Amino acid sequence: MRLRRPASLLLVLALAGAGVAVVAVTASALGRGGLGAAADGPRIARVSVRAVERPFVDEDALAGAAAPAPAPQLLDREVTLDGSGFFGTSFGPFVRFVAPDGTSHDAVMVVIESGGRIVAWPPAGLRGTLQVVVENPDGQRASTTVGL
Amino acid sequence: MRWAAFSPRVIAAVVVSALLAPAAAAQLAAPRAVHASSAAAVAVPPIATFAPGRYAVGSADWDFGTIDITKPGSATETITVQHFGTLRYPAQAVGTGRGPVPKAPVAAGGPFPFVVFSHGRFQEDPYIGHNHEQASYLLDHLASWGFVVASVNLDVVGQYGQPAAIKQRGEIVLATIAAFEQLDPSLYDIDFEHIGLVGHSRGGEGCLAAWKGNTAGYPIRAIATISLTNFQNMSVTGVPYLGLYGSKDGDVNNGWPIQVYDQAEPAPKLFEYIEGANHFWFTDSIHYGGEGAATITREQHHDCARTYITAFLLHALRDAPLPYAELCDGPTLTPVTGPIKIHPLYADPQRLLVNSFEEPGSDPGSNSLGGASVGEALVTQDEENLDNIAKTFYQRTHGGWIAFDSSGGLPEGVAAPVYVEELPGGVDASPYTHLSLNALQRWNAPLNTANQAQDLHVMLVDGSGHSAQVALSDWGTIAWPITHGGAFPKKSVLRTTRIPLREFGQVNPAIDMSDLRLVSLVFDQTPSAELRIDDLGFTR
Repeated sequence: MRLRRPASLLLVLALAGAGVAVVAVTASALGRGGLGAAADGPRIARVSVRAVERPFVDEDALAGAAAPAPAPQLLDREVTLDGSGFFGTSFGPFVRFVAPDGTSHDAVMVVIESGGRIVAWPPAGLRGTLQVVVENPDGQRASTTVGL
Repeated sequence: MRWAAFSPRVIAAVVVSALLAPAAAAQLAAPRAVHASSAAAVAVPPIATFAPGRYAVGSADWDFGTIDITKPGSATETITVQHFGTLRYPAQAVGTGRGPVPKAPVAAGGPFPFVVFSHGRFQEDPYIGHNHEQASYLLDHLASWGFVVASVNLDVVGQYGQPAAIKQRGEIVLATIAAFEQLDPSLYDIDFEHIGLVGHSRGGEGCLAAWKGNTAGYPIRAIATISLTNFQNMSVTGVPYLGLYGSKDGDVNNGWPIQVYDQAEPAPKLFEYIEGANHFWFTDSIHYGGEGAATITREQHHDCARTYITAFLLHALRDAPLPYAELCDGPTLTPVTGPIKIHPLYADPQRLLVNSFEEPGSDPGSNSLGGASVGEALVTQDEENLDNIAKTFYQRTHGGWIAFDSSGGLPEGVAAPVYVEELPGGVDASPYTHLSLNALQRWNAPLNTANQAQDLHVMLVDGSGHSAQVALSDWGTIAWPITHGGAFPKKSVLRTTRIPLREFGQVNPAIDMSDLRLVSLVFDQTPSAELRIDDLGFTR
């Protein structure tokens, strides 16, 4: 069994429209906080999406030294989240995409360019209007809608 | 007494009768001497690594320009990153230089083993990107003991949250060895035949990645990690390994360091579960409020890392006359283990395992030597996988499941619940110095009493029927599991207790260590318990 540090349960938020630009920003107060600039939790001010063709190999899916290399994927959407209060420790920040039926899809790749910008790549083929949720390692989170 | 083809019931009866013998009863009644450590078993003088070593410490920041490493998430592409860090080395005087050239000349007494330190990830805004400067307490200490230590910057891949850029950290570590090998040898008088890797958190796993990716064949002879991650589920094989982990770690709080230890090959391997330590206080100054407070001071975190890692590297890289077992229960550790409770695990490659509980096809009725495993008056005698969070187990090993309840009385003729391992044909334990047992009690099990340690007697019986028993609590403990808040708060972790074999000889001088027939666990110290046991055997 792999033991990735689990994120907190998602808040399933009502969807409000579609589109690329941000239409809603929600920050949860469930986390413990206490980290300097990030103590107030993450904020998403803007989200943008662009189509890409990015080969991807999940290095962390290796199950020990004897396992075969995982099959490459071709990621097709790149989601940029601008805001504030993003940070990472050994884990995170976590990014998830939640479908209207509540199904959650972890981003397969997350890069934190600064405390104000995260770039995330959802699983290939994921489409529609979804909630994108950013969760810091301390459990504080923000979400908004995104059209993929 | 003849031992051919005794049935398990007869074996149990032998132990039970030994328990009922007057000599055994006298042992049980006699006050026990509590031993602080196995000091008398150590034949060589220990090295006290709590204090700084004899060398002045020189330092220099270094920058080798750029290097190309694998792009995270890609099998074929590369990215270019800056390759820089800081260095500590044994110097003739304290001094700080710039670039790879030292200001203070290197000390006499070399060549000095080379150590690469890999820091953890902490990406808080503003992103200064100098986390390689967050272990100066450890770098300075190692240099004072005669190591040249390069702390390499890994923030150059810190932006990658997922995948975790572990392989890339390994590549940068290996590039650091290569770069320093190219320097003028007179600068630091480095012994590149003795290389050690030390890392914290993702940097600790980066050490494992470097070990795995060491196609150049660098003589890496030791790996020590602090609170390492395990994104890639790697195993350490063929190299001595030491892992430190805090019970209050609120970042890598999922038990990964325990699993890495279990998966490591004993070459040997050591693990120190530090009561009250968290994750980020193993740095110079990082404080992460999200993980909760430690219950020991930051300085005590540093004491643990300095003392254990220095002693470990002295043995592995400088051939210090210090048994690895010293880091399990030795007297050198007293400055640390006095004020701080540390629960060790230790596996010696030359050990003789009576029961590893790892044989395929769970068979609680037999042990690793092919002998019978017999219980008497037990509620449970079974085996199970200890990778089971629901039961508060975070191990990557199988163990024996032993439970007993004598609170309502015992069957007639039974003095105490017992668990007996038969040693078929007899075992010559004279090459070994200790009997070793890993054990834990399951958190919140009804048969365990909250906040109380469990105890038992270990009994040896030889081919002539001579027996001797020693209380486990004289030499170790089966502690009530340490807990803390947050995710994964309850952890029941195995702990090694080593009992010197000479103690059995002192209890009964007639016992023949060259012809042992039974090892028994006698549960006569507490009314009930639910335990897991592992790696019962003889060791040094």
